[in-house]
Amino acid sequence: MSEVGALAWVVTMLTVAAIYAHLRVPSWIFAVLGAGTLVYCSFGTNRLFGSLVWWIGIAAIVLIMALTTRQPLLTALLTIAAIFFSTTHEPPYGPLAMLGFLLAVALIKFGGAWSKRQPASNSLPELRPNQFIRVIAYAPIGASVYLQTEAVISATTLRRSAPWLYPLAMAGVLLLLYQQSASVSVGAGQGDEAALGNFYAPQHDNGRDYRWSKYESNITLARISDAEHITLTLSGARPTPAPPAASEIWVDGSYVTTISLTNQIADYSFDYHDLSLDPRLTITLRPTATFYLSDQDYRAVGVIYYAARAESNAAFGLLLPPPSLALLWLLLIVAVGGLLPAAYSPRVRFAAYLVLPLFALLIWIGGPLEGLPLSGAITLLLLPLSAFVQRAPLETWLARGAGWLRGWRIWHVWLVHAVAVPLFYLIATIIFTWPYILDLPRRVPGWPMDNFNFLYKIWWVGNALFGNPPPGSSLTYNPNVFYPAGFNLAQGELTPANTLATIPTTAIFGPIVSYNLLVLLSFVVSGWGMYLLVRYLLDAPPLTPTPPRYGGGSLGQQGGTNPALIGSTTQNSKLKTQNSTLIALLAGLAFAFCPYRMTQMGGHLQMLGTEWLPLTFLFLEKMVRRRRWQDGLIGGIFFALCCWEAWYYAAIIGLFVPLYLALRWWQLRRAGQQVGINPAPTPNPPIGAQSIAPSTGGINHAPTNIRYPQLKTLLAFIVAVAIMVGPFALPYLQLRDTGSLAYSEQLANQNSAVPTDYFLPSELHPLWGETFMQLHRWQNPLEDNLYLGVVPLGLFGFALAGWRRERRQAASPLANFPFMPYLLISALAFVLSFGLGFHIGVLFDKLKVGGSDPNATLWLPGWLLYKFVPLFSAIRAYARFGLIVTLAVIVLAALGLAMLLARPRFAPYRRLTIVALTIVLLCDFAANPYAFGMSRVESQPLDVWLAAQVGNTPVTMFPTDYAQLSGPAMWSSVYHGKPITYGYESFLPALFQRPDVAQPLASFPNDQRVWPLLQGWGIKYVLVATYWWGTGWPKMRDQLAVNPHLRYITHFQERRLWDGNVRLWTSWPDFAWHAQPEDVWIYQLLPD
Amino acid sequence: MQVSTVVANSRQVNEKAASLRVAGLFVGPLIVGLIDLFHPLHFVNGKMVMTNVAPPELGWRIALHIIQIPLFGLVGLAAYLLLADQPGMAATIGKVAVALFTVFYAAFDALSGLGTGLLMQYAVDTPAVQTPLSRRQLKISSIILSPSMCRK
Repeated sequence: MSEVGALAWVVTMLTVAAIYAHLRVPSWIFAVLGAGTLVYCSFGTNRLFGSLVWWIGIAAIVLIMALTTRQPLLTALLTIAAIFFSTTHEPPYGPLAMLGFLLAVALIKFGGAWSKRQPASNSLPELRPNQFIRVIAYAPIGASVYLQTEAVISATTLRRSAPWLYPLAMAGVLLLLYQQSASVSVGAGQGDEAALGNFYAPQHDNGRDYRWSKYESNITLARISDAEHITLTLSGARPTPAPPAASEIWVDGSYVTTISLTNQIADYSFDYHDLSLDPRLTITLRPTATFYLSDQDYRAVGVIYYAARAESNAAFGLLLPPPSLALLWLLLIVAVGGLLPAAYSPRVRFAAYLVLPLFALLIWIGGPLEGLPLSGAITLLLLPLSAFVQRAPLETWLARGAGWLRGWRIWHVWLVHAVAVPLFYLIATIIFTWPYILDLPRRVPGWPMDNFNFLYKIWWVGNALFGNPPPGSSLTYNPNVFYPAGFNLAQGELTPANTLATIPTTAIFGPIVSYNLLVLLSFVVSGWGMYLLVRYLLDAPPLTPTPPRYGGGSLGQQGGTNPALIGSTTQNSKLKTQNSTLIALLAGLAFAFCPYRMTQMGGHLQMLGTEWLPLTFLFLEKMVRRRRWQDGLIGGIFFALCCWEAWYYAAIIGLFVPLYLALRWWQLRRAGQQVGINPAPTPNPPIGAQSIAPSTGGINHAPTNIRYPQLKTLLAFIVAVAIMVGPFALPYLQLRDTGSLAYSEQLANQNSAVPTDYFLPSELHPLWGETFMQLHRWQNPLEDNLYLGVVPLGLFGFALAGWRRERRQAASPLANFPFMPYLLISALAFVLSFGLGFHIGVLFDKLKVGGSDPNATLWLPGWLLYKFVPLFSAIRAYARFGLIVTLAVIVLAALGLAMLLARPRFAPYRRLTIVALTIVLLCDFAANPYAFGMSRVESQPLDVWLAAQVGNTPVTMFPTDYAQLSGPAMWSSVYHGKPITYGYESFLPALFQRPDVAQPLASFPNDQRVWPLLQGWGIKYVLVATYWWGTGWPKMRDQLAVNPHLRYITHFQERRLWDGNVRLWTSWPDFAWHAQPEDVWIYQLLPD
Repeated sequence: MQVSTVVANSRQVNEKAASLRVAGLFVGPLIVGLIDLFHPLHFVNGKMVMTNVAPPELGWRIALHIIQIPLFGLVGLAAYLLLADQPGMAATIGKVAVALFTVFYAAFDALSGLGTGLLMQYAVDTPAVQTPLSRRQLKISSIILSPSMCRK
């Protein structure tokens, strides 16, 4: 309380400055700077008072404050008065403060400000009514920041009360802050381009700007609250009498309502509420019909847009911040909270003092949040809560919770590992992918493409077993797709792990739910698998010298684990990695939600099946440590499941399995020799053996005999793989004889990574994703988002730097961690992900430094694999080696974290550090709302029409480039049931690769060979997708109208299936043809 | 009474009020600034010092902090006069802050100054063996009660 008066004085002086000196900047900036002034003065006074640094800081503050107003001298004088008199009134500070105040009063009184004051208009030129309340908040915030940090750093009487008192007070202030009625609006004029997407150019009429919408146009507003009241000013005017215009309204890819428009300008309002993390609110207009304004105007226009306005809407009587801001608060709080422990060190305390206010200022001034209304709350909450976050109450709570968990674990170990941990990842998945869980029966993630292919396969396997498959079909063969060749599912990924596993769910819930369950479960099991792997690696007993038993060898046996490599029980029981469970949980989160996986969720179901990868490595490690054939068997099953997911993983992971085994066996054998552990037990100790080497403490340099147990383990592994994988490899072997299952070198190299892919932040991030999406725009959007994350990378770096020292510590529980194997694996996978040859120029292009020869190529090891190792020639995307890099980096990051937490100075903050890192990691990997959107799975009018046609005559579609690259086109056959001559798969059937078939189809309708070909196949209906032809469609339409082989029947405008962010088109225009609803024209093929 | 007389009287009153206002703006801060030139030092080159004090200085210390109680009120008045006619929330904040300043700054400075002075007096009058305790009390008194942010 003793400082209340001093604080009040500062507030008074700054308020006077704000009133009389006429602010040059928005009032909130002034207020924040004022709060920063207070903070600095407080810190500086306590620690630096009177020093040169203190004076420099004061001078800087006075200068900054002066620059914020139109009368800098007046502000400078008042600031001096504020600072000095609040510091102390002893000489020289008190007299100087009063001198400054007197001069300021003189300036006000005699310098014109006094006489010019106009209460109504001139008093607070920059302060708007709804911002006043912020001014109230800033001063106590400054006090709070000061008291908080002071309470943490020094032992004062406030230490106990402040951590709880001030955050609570600030939470109340912030809540109050949010009760103001904020709003944002966007017009239609020239200056509004940034917020408008896919509109026509602005026009002006009757004093108002307006724009015509297209078939789909969107308006982007800043999200200002968790609940919005949105008003759109629109007109449905038409040049000629026509049915009333209507438009669907979508917000953030979700349908909201359909409004009927009048010819007049009118406001249309609706409420919207969601928990999206996107700081932007994207309103999409989808007119139900477009038309041409005149014969001379070729713009297909929808409705007229004038303005959009969003106001925060109270939910439950309170306005709450949007989730994106809440997330950022948390992120920044944690980031700053992480700095505070460092402040305990006197050496860096001063830096911490400076960092805190500077950090806040940087957020305000330079951050990308500037455009967000109410983002000021970030800073307001940031600093006081940062102290709170790292304070003892939370830590005590965590410790209590962990203690409870420990006690619980003693009795329910299996429950924790088998139930609690998966449940944790399930909850995390639901939250991280929200609201995906609500879409299970309706939509699949990603834009319509590969996802429909896998959906089809899931449906097909269920249909082949329990449905009504056509004659001649089998589990892996459907004669009605790619007719007349038929669709062998082995032309792409059979992915039995997905198709076979979902037979029950497909039978009960249908293929869409099955697909989505697979996606969700992949997150859960991936996290769980990584948890188990990391926990085992951290907790596995180290290899240590042991007292001799039976003479030369040491055979410490412990709980069913490796009898050979377990050392002294007494010593090892003390050597346990601290917080290994929490570290493993964090590693699981990092793996489950890594950008690689989040990106593959956009349609590559088979690549999303990464859950078996960490489990495979877990049992590889167990194989070499325990050498039990059961471990080999289970390891083989998990590796086989990897192969069942995707042949890519068979090749990629298969490359590293022998490498890992060889490295680990060699490593452990060497370690065993060094510490004298003879893995081969000697059942009958020789008489008198104890006298052989008693003085060596059990160290024995005798050669070991480990061949037999390893062989048995390895054999079990191979047998499991052969039994499980063999049957599914047969279709591929057959196809290799009939057609090519290989990509060209160019194609194989096309989707490869560049080094920056691992370091560029995720393109899916709700805040900065679009920026980095631009940097990936020349790549495949699904392949090159390989960002490793700031937390894994940082910890990985720590592991790299500290491993050498850690390894030498005999008492370290991490001494036997497979550091080197994982490091080598990550390095090798890193290089292989660059493909066959590295286009050096591409990297420079990506970094925008230019000046390089784009054709310069550095041939890489991947080329050798492509040429000489089976399966690798069928790899289209070498960037997928990035998964191995991700896995290895996360494993080593877990090691780094364990090493970090083992340091004594981190002892009080272990759990807190893990919690903080977890929050940072999740904020870094955030991908909500999902940038690739969701695709609705539903029938189109065309499907309904085709289904109604009598007979089972085949249908073909042109152009083939579209038909053979459209997942939804293949999926449509599920609805109409007609044989189709097209499909969507990695490789085409051999028939469609033959030049005499491929060329006529590709040249439709100009190649005359196409007509007898189609007639020979018995085609009745020819479908022509118009969008693919682009502006050439009217000409093509006229050409088809006079074609003697075709008769026009009808055409259908399809509904758009994709609910996603049309801004993606900026980065990848190819998205457009996936996202655009097709206009399909139907012709009947006439006999000659 | 003639209207002109009323107007003239009113004008006189207004002028008198304006003069008082100007005086109120300057007098308090001026006196505080001057008198603080003679404030006993706790800080020398930014370092807190608690040197031996002589009885005359103790007397001045106590007197100064009694005098300052109303003077801080005058400083608050000066600040208030700058804000008095101003409308709006910002001015209201300023006025509330002035009230807080006037009450708390003056109160705690008086408590601190007087308390410290009295403790020093006590320390001077106390046998040497008990002096360390008194010095610690002195320091605590300065830390806890000082209205400034200058705590050590």
